[in-house]
Amino acid sequence: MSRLVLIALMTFLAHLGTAQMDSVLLDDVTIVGQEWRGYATGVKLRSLTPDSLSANQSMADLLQSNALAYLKVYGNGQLATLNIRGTGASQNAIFWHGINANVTSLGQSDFSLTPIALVDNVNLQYGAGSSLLGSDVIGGSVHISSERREDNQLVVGLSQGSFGLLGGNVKGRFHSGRWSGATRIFDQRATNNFTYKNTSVVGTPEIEMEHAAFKQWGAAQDFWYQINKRHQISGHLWYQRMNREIQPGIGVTQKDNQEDITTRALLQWSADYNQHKGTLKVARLQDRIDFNSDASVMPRTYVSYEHEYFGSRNWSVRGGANWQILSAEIDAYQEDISENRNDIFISLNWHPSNRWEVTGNLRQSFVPGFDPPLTPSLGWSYLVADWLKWNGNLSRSYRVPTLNDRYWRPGGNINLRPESGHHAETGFEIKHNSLMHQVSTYYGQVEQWIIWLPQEGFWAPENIDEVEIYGLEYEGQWAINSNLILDLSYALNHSIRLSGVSDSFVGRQLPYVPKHQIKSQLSYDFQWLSIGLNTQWVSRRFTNADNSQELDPFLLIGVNATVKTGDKWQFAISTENITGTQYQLMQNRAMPGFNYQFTIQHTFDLNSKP
Amino acid sequence: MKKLLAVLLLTPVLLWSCGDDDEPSGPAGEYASGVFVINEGNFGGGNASISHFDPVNSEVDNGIFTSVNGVALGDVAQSMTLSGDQAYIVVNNSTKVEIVNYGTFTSTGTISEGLANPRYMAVNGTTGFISNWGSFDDKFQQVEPPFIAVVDLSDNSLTTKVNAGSGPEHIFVFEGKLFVSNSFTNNVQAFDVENYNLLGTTELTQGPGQIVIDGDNNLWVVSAGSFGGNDGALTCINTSNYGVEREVRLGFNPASRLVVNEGDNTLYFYSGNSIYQFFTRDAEPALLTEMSGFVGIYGIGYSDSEDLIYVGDAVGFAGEGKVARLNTDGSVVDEFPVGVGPNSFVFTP
Repeated sequence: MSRLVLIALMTFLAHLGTAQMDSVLLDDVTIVGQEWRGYATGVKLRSLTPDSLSANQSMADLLQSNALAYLKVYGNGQLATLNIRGTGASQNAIFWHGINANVTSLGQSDFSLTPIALVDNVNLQYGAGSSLLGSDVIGGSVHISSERREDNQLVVGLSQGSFGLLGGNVKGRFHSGRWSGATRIFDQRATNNFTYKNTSVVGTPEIEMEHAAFKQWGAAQDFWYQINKRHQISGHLWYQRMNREIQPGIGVTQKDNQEDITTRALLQWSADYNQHKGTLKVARLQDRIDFNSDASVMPRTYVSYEHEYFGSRNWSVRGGANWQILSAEIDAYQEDISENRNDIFISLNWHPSNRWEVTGNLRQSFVPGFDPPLTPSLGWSYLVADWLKWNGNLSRSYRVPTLNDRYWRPGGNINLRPESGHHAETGFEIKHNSLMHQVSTYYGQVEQWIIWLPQEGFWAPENIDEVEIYGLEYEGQWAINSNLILDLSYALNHSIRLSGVSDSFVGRQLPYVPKHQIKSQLSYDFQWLSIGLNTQWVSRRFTNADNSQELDPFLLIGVNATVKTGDKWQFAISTENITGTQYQLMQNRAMPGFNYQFTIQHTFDLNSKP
Repeated sequence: MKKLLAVLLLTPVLLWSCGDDDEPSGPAGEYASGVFVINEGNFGGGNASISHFDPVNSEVDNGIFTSVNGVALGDVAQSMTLSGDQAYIVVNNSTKVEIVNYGTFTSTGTISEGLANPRYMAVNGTTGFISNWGSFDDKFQQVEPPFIAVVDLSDNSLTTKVNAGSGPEHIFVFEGKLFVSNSFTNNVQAFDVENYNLLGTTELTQGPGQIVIDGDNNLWVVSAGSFGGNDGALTCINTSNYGVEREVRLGFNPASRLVVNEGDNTLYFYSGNSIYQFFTRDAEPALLTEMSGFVGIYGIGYSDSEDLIYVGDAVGFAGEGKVARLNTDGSVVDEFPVGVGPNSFVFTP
């Protein structure tokens, strides 16, 4: 189903052309609801199509500065987990070409690992989406993919920046007859010796970070082959590798190292017979994490088929199934684990009138030893007036416990139940001349929330908590004039524990969920010059369940400028944290002050001239 | 009032037991008397802290190291030891020992030279002994072997390192001898405090932890046992010939913490949320009480002056810890909030 959403978004983006610099606001949602028969009606979607000049950024950087999401980051370039709509790291998922690519042992993803250089499209889905996307999607999901283009082009970029940052990337596209392809290579390293205040030494001196260096590289290869008018196959390969010195907490002497290697391969076949569409995917994904030299290897085999039938102009139905085998070779499991997870799903889209659109989705997962809930959702949108749309969604969500939750020795608990949630959201989209607004409100309750508790000498997970989540999101865009655009967004998140292991946790905000976030982007474009001003303000975040400790609110300001000479050369300089604010995203993990990055990019147009 | 009376009645006994000829000459200051709670904090969180509890007026003062000195204590406060006017706080994951005047809690120095995974400290005169697990490589193989750091407390410099067994944990000085429980092994070692020669090794149940001394001048050591083996034990060691006087098999795995009462004849320890007491003349320990309102006991202490048991609850390390004071019949006197992960208690003399 995510694929449909993605295709919807891609289709729309293709219409927009390729000159997207920043996030596309609002229209994608409208398009999914109206022009294209998606099944995510009433679900908030956002495209974060990245700028090629930001190729050296990670997904974590992109999301933190552009999305209403909070990333819990364990230092500069270090582990970054995602919190959307007030949930935890494991209640969100990353999807690669529609396949859940969370690390299966942890049930979460490190968004510092994924370089923007290897993807074309980044889309964010806010809120519960289990009926569409399966397990883990309680807070939201991030979708990355590459996109077929009929183009012959080579883009080479080089970057240099603060703290010994050096990076390079190459992106090539080719198209000939029935074949299209894309090749991407990426490399980046930094000594990462930024200075920070050592708050654990008398006088809190500024000292240099000694153990946070990283290097990473990756490559991705895509091809598309048009067999005939109706059939297409495509293949997608992905490899990324990152070696990091684990940045210790302030005043901590521990020095760990980690290597993360991700490999993914997907073969996809699609058929389009107008009224019938079918898609078959066969994929193999593998994460390997070497913490110090303790290796964990987590392969996943994935097969899915889905079929869509367009009944008439005003309704369509789709159904499908996927089969997954999750395996793990992890010393602490004491034996190699292999687990089947299968889903079946069906969706219906109905346009009762030009103004109404209604979709229903139903999914059932099958996991040995579990009883994941039957997961329905109902979404709608109603065009109240040309400039006003009302939409909403009711859904259930679930999360199957991670492999660590079940098999880690000691502590792993095979008898855990899945987390299970009920959610409602509704909102408005308003377009008025140069102004666009989107307001969403949501409410949800998640039960059987899993937490790890200390036992005698080890920790063990239990289904303990019940959490209530509600909030409001505003995203707006104002085209002040033809050169100047202001994007502004605000999120209010309440995540309140209704029951927990201790009474002192009840009624309290979950750790690392900021109550308020404000993000803005002012962009000025004039012929060969673009200038951007980014600001984000994030309110205090509690670091523990009884809200007795907290991190200070922070304001970050960044300025960037790009100069284009003709179609070939681009020079960009971006500065971050220009005020040198000392801030933390994760307790006791230092973040850098002022830093910059200089990028030079050359585009070779290889299309044969007419 | 009863407690106060008990304190008053016990005071002469305490003075006598301290062996001081005159009034005790502890430091002056706000924290000069009472109970220190060592809150280890979240691993990596840098939020270790010390709480002070004044039993006279039931006042709690949390985070006193930071409030007095204006800096964080560090990461994972493992233990604290008093000697003279000074308190020595072993901060494990910051690889240091913070020294304060415990009356005011102002910082008076730091020991960091030569340490590697420091755990516990004992003091004999002007010599400090700090147990260190040593360092480990990627595969948790020992790189620097475990040792006892011998520190000259006049300038906090490292005098020498004495080889210890694997995982040297609790460390205890008694009559010119230094006893070390090697927690990854099944033995306790005894060293001479002057020339650091190994005097003897006592073999006992796997995983020895805290050491206390009873009224007969015998050591008692709690052994956590092997993982999941339900084979923990209390072992009584003769301090002269290092032989095992008695071994009490528990049939479960206790935490590696042990305290002794003021009369030196009753031991208290715990497993899960169950607190046990053991009269050293008895055949086996008895369940004292279950801490039903606790998420999980993480530390235990015994106040000589109050004849009360202190128990710390780490509350899953997800928030502030709490401490309960218990009468020796197991009934709860009161509770108060402390920092994250209260693991032990230090009572002022």
